[in-house]
Amino acid sequence: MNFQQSPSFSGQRVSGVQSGLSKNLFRLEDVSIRFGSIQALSNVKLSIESGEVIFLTGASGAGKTTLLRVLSGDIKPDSGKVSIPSPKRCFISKVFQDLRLEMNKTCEQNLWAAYDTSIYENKKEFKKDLEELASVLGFDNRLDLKVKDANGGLKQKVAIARALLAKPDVFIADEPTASLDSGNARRLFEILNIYNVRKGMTVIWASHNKELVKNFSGRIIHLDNGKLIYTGHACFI
Amino acid sequence: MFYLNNFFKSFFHFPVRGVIFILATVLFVGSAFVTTKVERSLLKGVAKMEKGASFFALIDSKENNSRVARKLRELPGVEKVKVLSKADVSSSLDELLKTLNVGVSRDLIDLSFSGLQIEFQKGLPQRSQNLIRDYLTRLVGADKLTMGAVNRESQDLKDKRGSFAVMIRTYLGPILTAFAGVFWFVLFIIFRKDFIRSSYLSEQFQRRSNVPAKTLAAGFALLFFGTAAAMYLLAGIPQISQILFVFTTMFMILVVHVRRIEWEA
Ligand SMILES: Nc1ncnc2c1ncn2[C@@H]1O[C@H](COP(=O)(O)OP(=O)(O)O)[C@@H](O)[C@H]1O
Ligand SMILES: [Mg+2]
Repeated sequence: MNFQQSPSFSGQRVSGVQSGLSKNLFRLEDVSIRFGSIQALSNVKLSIESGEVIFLTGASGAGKTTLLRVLSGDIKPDSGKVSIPSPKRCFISKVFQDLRLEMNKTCEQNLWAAYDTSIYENKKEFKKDLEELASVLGFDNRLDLKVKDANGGLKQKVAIARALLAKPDVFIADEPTASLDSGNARRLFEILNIYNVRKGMTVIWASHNKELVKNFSGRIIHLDNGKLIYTGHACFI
Repeated sequence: MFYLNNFFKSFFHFPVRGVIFILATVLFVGSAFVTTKVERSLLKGVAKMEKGASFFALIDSKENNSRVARKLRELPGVEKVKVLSKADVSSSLDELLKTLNVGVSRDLIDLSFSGLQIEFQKGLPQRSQNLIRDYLTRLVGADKLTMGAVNRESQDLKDKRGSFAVMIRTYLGPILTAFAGVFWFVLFIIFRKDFIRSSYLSEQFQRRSNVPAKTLAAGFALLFFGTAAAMYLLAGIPQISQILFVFTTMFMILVVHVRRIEWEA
């Protein structure tokens, strides 16, 4: 990890989550979700602690997106118990699988959606972080490009940068590297690690690309057909 | 203020759109005030058309009729005295002959009489009208004067005025507000998407909740009370039922948005 090149993050925010480091942030017990005849999740038992870096793997349709939606409180399970941190105590920002960018706006305008006046002192401070992050992710020269004119990789980077600029306690990303090459994917992983180490940001990242995950430290959660079949470190896969 | 800013930003992302929406809102709120204003000015017009009782008088042309007219005008209870020209006399001939009820030939009238039309003030009692007619007789002399009967104040015009006002109040105003409301609502639905999206994103990436409802509350409050204040100064008190309708419509839309919103792709 290269800390010299890493962005210098301004505005140290002491989150309530960091203080209780070993506490379970998320706890799922026997969580099941059905969509019609499809069992998207079945009896998932899982807990995630603050400060962890998690890789959620599994083939397409295994239930990764559904699990992320449960963790972020978007959907309630049909059965089982879910305990997630309250939004007041713990802020979650997401990279959605469909990115959810405003196509008619420029990349930079999209990033300003994360300008939270309770986190940033002023616009200047935000702009500084924005430019640093864009430069680290390698799109600082394309900030004025309209999103509808951007390629898949750039769109993905904008969505990632927007989620990071929100300075979340928990960062949830659904297939954030789908349109990135392996070099870019590795770079993103480094950046997320820096945020994790420096700010105690919990990272939950879903990807169907097992190759990508192998090289990295952190905990793996593997889903197959809605069932959680493995959780542990990458070296054991 | 964030929410006000969000309101205008999301509607003014395309400026033309923003201007149209603001105008539609002003029209909608303003329609509740305009009715009273329109009603009042229309009634004023009708009131002008309305006349007091009047009668015609034919005076020997040897008399100085403008002097007679001047004398009459000085009397209390006389609204107007019109000296009729020869053409006026001719054109009023039918009516004159009808009210005079005498067999005078038209040639004779044209040659030897000049005409006056005396209009009383509105609502002048019969007794006062008779006093004025007596005065005229004494002034000119009974032998040199022929007076027509008094035309009563037209009651049907008064009735028309009343029903006209009722019609405006019951139909025109509400129809205007309803049309403005439908127009405004359709625009809101069309322009809603950008606003929902930017609100959704603020909820996702900033520590905020209920952004759409708060945004609408801020934006609508400014437009509603701003327009209402301006219209009050221009046109006075609004039609209460209509202003309530406008307020309720906006409030309901706001209430509908007090919930978690989804991303609309
Ligand atoms: N909203 C939904 N309605 C119906 N079926 C759904 C819905 N969301 C997910 N599914 C189904 O649930 C299964 C798991 O989906 P998902 O969680 O998106 O998997 P993954 O993200 O691992 O590809 C899939 O078969 C998918 O078709
Ligand atoms: Mg998915």
